[in-house]
Amino acid sequence: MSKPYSKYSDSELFLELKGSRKEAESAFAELYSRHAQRIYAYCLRVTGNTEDANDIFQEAMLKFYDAAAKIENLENVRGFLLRVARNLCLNFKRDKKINLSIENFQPYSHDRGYEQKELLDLIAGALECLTFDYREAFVLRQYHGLSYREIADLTDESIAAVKNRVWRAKEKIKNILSPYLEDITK
Amino acid sequence: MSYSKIIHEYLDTGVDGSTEEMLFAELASDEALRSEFNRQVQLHLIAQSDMNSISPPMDVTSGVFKSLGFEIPTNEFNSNIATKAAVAGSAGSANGPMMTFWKKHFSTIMVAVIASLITAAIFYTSQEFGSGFGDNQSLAGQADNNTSSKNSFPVISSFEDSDSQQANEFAAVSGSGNKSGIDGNSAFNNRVNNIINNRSASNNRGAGGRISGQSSRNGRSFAGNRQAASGSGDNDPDKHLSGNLSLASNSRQVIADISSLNSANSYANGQSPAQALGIKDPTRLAQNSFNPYGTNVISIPASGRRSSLFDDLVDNIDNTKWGVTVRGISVSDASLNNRLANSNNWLDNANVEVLYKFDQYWGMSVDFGRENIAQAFTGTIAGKAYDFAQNPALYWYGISGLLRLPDIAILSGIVPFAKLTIGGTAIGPIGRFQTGLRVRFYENIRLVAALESTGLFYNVDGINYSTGKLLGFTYGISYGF
Repeated sequence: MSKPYSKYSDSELFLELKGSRKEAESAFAELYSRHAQRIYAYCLRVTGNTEDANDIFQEAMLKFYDAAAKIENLENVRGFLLRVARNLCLNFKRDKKINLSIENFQPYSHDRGYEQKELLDLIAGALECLTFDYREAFVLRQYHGLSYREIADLTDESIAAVKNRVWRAKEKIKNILSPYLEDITK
Repeated sequence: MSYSKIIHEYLDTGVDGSTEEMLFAELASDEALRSEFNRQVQLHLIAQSDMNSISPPMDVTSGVFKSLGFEIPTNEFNSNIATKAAVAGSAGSANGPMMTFWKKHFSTIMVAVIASLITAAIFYTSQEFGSGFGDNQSLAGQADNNTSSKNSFPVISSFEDSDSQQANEFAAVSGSGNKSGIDGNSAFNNRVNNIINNRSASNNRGAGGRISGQSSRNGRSFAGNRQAASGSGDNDPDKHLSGNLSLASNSRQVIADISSLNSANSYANGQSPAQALGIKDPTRLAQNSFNPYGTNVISIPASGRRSSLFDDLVDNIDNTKWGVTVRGISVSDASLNNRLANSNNWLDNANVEVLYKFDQYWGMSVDFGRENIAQAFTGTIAGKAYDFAQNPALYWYGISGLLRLPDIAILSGIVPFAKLTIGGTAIGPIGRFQTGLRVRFYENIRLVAALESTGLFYNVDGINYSTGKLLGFTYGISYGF
């Protein structure tokens, strides 16, 4: 009889990763179903590129699984996954310039009545115009809903610095999208 | 600080009351600021929509599992990832649709089951016992047939406060030396003649002999045994064929062991029931156990409710007229948990009730509370609908009806209850339903634990909404005085 993994906490599932092959597979599947979406969203919006996001996300999940053999207990699985993904994104950032300039921002034609997908692409494009720090702060706060304390812990910054970064990122994105937001509000 | 930043902080973490008032005053007069406010709200909504629209592609998921040497998950698994993250937060399930169904609806089902059980218990305990035997008429008819099979019927002692008049009349009848016997049908039609109410009879000792009733539970009387009287004058307990079975009417089922009828016959023949039964000191007998043959005794309280195994334990009875309860509420909508930051602060989800108790069953209370109540509604941007969720702390007030069921106490001092509240908030009406247990902890102090369901009705932009599945637990402490 299979274990009720859906009722397990993240920490309990993490311990199951050390178990038998079958237990590890089931536990990993459960953890994946809980956190993959958020981690992938982080990778995608921070890198701004689907292919890069795919690579980083896969690598992050594999590193996470490997970590189970080395780490005794893990209380905050989501935080750990985000940290792994962030480190990979930082490595990626070192190797490749990933932010565009505002001048390069060429969204869809300036028509009224944007489709949902267009709106989402607009914000994705606007995010690409931000530096990594601003982009990350905005994604972690607005997308993931992390508290300022959690973001500060993750990024090793002060809460005040994180708050300021989120505010500035929001202003930048708002300015980039301003013409479109104006249309939307009309 | 610019108003733009104040708006950001207002939407992001909230601002203090004075700043909020200042902001709203400025918003009321400044159209440009209202546009800025709208832009920031839209930005937030778009970010949320973008987040919800993203999920790892199937080939990426397959790549991860393949790299680890695991079985490649199905498309369904992958498509469920976003749904699980969105719907259940960290409670997603990969164990199939049945498990998903149970996880999603378990709370609802449990509330429904418990509410059904309590409702059934209320109905059951308020019904006339023995309805399964058919109505009294049929029993009387059987009595007329005078069948010997009646000797398997149990004796039922019931608690009845209101039969004193009948008993008095009975006492008068028996005291006058009515030895002629009572026909079953006539007894059925004239309960004056067929009820032996021991307690009431004891009030008329000279006339009817006495088997006094045991008084217990807040002065609530264990009233007399109702026994059928037969009219044959047959004193032989082995001959059960001769007595007509007489039954009390009053729609309370009195089923007589024919053996006891014989004692009643003796009673009718001038002996007190105690004498007829050879009981030396019948006053010492609790009437619940008044069964000279020691079998088939079933007790029914005066209210018609069946007494519990612990009926005599006063722990189940709340003598106080007033009560104050303070409780914490942990009610949430599982489908919104991942989108909302629920407050864990006890004071943010608490309720105070002042209760007046009409009796040991019914009460009415005035309630006041503060609670984070999850709401989900649709906002429209450029003609497109966006899902929006919020979890504001709302003050609420209400009037409640409380039903306690001491008669079906599970254990001593643990009394089931149900409570229905109707009230209001600043944004719309609210209804709440609790069902659970009140546990006597110390003297007049009781612990309260219950399942709770809440429904809030509100309006956003002219559209009416109601909260979805706000289910959870409540726990607190109650003091009676």
